[in-house]
Amino acid sequence: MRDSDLHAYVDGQLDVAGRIEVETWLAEDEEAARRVDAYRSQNAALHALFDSALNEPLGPRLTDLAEQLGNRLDTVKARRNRWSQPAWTRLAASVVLLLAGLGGGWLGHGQLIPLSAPAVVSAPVAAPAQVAAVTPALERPTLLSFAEEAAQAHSFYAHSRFEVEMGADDQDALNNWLSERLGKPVFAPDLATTGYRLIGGRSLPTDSGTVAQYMYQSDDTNRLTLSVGVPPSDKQGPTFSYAKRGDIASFYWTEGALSYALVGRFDRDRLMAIAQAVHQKLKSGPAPRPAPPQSQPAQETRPPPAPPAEQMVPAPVNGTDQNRPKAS
Amino acid sequence: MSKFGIELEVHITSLRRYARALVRDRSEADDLVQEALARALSRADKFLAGTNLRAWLFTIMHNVHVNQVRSRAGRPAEVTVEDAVLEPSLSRPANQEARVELGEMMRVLETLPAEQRQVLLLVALEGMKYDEVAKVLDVPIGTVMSRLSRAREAMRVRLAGGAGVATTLRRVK
Repeated sequence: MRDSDLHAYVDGQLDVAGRIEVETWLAEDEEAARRVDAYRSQNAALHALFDSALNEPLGPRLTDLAEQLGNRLDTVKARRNRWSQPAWTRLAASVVLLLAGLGGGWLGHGQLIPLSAPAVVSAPVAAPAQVAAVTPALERPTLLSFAEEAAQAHSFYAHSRFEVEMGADDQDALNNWLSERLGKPVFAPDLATTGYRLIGGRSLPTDSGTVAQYMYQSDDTNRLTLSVGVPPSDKQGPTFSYAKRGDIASFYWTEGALSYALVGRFDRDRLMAIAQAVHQKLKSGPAPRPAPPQSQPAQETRPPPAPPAEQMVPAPVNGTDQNRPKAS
Repeated sequence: MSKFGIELEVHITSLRRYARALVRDRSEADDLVQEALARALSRADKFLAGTNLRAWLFTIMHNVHVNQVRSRAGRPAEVTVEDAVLEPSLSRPANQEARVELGEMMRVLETLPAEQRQVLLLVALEGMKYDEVAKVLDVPIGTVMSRLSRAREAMRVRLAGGAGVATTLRRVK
């Protein structure tokens, strides 16, 4: 086992097979396990020391520079698009095919059309180009590997003192930030009806691309995570799949433009009940503040904060099996 | 708003976090970010849409920083370690004990050679992939790995002396 594998493990830069290999090693090598613990603590401490800088407003000078730079990049990009239309068109076509296969009608929502499309690019070109830009590589990770990474990430962070990268104080900011990391609009569903409230989120580099991880907590401090990623290339409907490893259970599914994995220490029924609540909230979209969305998820890049708990949940909530040390 | 707007804003807050960890003095760090953005603005033509905007910005800032350090070599540091250490911790609702540990962590971080500190911060704080770090710093990936390894071991050994972060922050099962 190489030293670099140990670091890659700590930094979440190993694939599932690599992680299993390292974990096997760690089980037998106490010294290596101590190093992993120390390195993780260092990571957490660095975040504790410096993350406050993320929450400060940019200030007038940086905001001004950001705006100028953004406009400049828009111009540069628009010019390139105009020059290389055939390439864009080809790429856009394949992306459209892919998206059609994944749930259809997605482009029609227009959520990825820039708020102010550059004047030199006609709308039909601008939209697919933008989509192509956020779908950089069509690799072939499976939905299962996505779910496994989500479960790993859950084990990794759910019991950490620094469990989230950004807190849920400002849900708009959290959703916007994760949408940007993911390249697609995402939002945290309100799970108050299940007894879980959002405490924050983080973005994770995984083999299947960036994954947004939302973390929720119950009053008795049990935690569940909802990971959201771009769908793997193996096409799946919204059918739920279930997996369990140790006492960590996952439900995962792909719907529309996104894959989801709900992970926590639950038995199957309890997790299923929560998964149904998540599914329902996702379908109804982020809080219908200005006007309720018409049966389609609202796709604004700035979803309003989650609504009060008013929606029905299919199954009754009785969390008796939380926090069990071993379930199977 | 520019379509790069939100993404840029996110990256700029990351640049500022990294800068503050790198140069300690708050206003100096903010100046570094500003200068990097001004440089990016003048080189926007060279940015390829669809490529990694974050890595591009960090690369530019790294180069600006290297030039600054070079031109300021020999000038004494103007900020005391204590000022910089206590500032970020004060804004956190942490207890006294945690604050001291983080202060210790900060002090140990300061003792690392600059090139090790850069790698550690880009990986551990900014969550960059190793090959991204190699691009930003313009060094081979093997160099990234060896600097990372040396930085973490040095921190671990130095922190183990004062019963600090390593034990207290350990995951609670």
